[in-house]
Amino acid sequence: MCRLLICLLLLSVPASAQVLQLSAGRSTLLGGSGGEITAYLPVSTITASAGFADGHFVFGGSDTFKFHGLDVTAGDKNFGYSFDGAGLGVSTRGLFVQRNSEHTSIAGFVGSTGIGYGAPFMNTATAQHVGVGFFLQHHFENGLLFSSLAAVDGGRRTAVQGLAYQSHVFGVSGSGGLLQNQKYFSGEVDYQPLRSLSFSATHNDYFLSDHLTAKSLSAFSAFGRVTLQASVLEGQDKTLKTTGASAGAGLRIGSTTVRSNFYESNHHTMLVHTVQERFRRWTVTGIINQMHGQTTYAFGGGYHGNKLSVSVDHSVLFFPLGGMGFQQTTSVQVSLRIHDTVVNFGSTVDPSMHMKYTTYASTYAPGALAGLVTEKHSYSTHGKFVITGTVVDEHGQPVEGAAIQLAGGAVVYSDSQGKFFARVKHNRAIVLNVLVNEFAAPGHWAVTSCTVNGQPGIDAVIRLKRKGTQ
Amino acid sequence: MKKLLVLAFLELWFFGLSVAAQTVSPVIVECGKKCNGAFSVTNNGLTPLAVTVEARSFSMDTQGHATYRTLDEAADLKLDEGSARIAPKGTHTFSYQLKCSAVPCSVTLLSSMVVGHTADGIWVRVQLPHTVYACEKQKDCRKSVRAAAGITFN
Repeated sequence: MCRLLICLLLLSVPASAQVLQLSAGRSTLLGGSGGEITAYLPVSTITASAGFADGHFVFGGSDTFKFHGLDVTAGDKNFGYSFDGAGLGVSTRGLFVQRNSEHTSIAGFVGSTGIGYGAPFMNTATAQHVGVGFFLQHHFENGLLFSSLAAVDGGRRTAVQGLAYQSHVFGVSGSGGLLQNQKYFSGEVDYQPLRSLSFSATHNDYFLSDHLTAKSLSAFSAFGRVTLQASVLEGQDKTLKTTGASAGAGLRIGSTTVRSNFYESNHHTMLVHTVQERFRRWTVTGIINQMHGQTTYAFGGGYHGNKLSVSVDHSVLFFPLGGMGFQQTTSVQVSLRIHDTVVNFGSTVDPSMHMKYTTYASTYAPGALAGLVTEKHSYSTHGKFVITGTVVDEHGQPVEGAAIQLAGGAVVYSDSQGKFFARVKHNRAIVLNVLVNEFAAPGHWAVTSCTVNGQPGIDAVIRLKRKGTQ
Repeated sequence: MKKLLVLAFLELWFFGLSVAAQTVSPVIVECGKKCNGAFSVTNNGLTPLAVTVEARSFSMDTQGHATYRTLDEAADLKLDEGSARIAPKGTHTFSYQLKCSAVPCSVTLLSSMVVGHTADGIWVRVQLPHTVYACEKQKDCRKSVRAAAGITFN
């Protein structure tokens, strides 16, 4: 019955939407799969999610709208705050009200709290305890930021206060108090006495399956092409303390960066040398890894374009839990954009060769109230030859924002001088098609004459007439 | 007589921008005589956005106000694309190569986009600049250009 109601909600939302955002995906890293529809209506935003998290069916939804200057959300919302890396959140299902002014933000909720599921493709909450909460954040003119969170859920009390201050050379932030009946403290200090030298110290309490404390002390300097860094890290869970230290140096020569880093944790040492070459949208990385008397080699790299981004990265991360210390990880990221649809895939391979991934797709579609036509077409291509042209009106004046399609594919737009260009791979004539419904320029236009074929080296001329003028 | 539709554009510059939906990054870059660069335009809106890019040379008065003109002959600019249609919540990167036969040379790449219209029907066009300062040496290039223009404040 519940699933049927969710399906009906998912189907009813698009009917009145201006723009719909549709997302779906699966994640072994976050342990869930599902989908979400967000409908952007003229006066509100409605979201509906459904899927499976840790093998259980979950669903959620919310309606966000303005009411007498207040931002109101009815449904699921993550209630909390964050500043300078320190953050707290409570997953709620109920009524959430927020008011923002220039210096102050005040929010409150009443409803239920529970375990939330958050992923790029699905956001849900569960109702486990009755809860009520209040949040205040105020920016003082002297740069001081004050935050206060108070909440009660299922008999557990939260009362956390935070302060943050940032000047040109010095920054400090801290929050502490009672977090769901447990003592909590988080703080960070940054000091930058010179433009090329900075120090940082952090202390954080985490509440995962166990209470975990993590501390770090680090220094970084950059002198021209040379960078130096050193850090000391420590993690403490219920039974085990994990320590680590790292130091490294880097040198940048043109588009090439060379780095050497030394890592030590729990009496294990590791030396990693990295050479990275950047060329426009391409990155190539070579890694030499020396550990336990053995030398291994790895390669990585990536391409970052407008349609496609691919990267393979190797990195060394500090795991403060269970005595793991510094570990090498490999990650693969792929992002593909086709028209208004984006497909993302990200995976991480941990040191024990276990792969976990998150993949999802997201697209936008016009709803019944969209009121505009968004035809699908391709983006421009790159090439050696250039097709150029000029768009003018009936008086010979340039027309800006005219849309011209090349050979049924790429679409280009004219600039303020009425000129457009596109790079093509072959030196041959290409059919030009004027898309009057796609113009970025206001008004209604008709084509009076157009060079049928555009050819590299020959300036095409397109003449238009504004409809509704004499 | 048919009613004449009066259309007007409002030129909103980056620093006076009230429509915070679109962004250009980075705003300023410094480089040597030859420059392989790129900048990204982000469409934070929910509808596709057409963007055109135009290059301008400029000079500044002592108050830092820029006067734009057509691209100087000393600046040889090769843009990969002159326009793009950016998907909702999407980002598009424009790449370019700039060679300056005389330095310093300052070039602004203006990204123009129509972002909507007011209740009165006046169309709003936003122009967001990406400015390239090219000097003999990359370091402190912008600072030296501003100093040459007699600008004393940061």
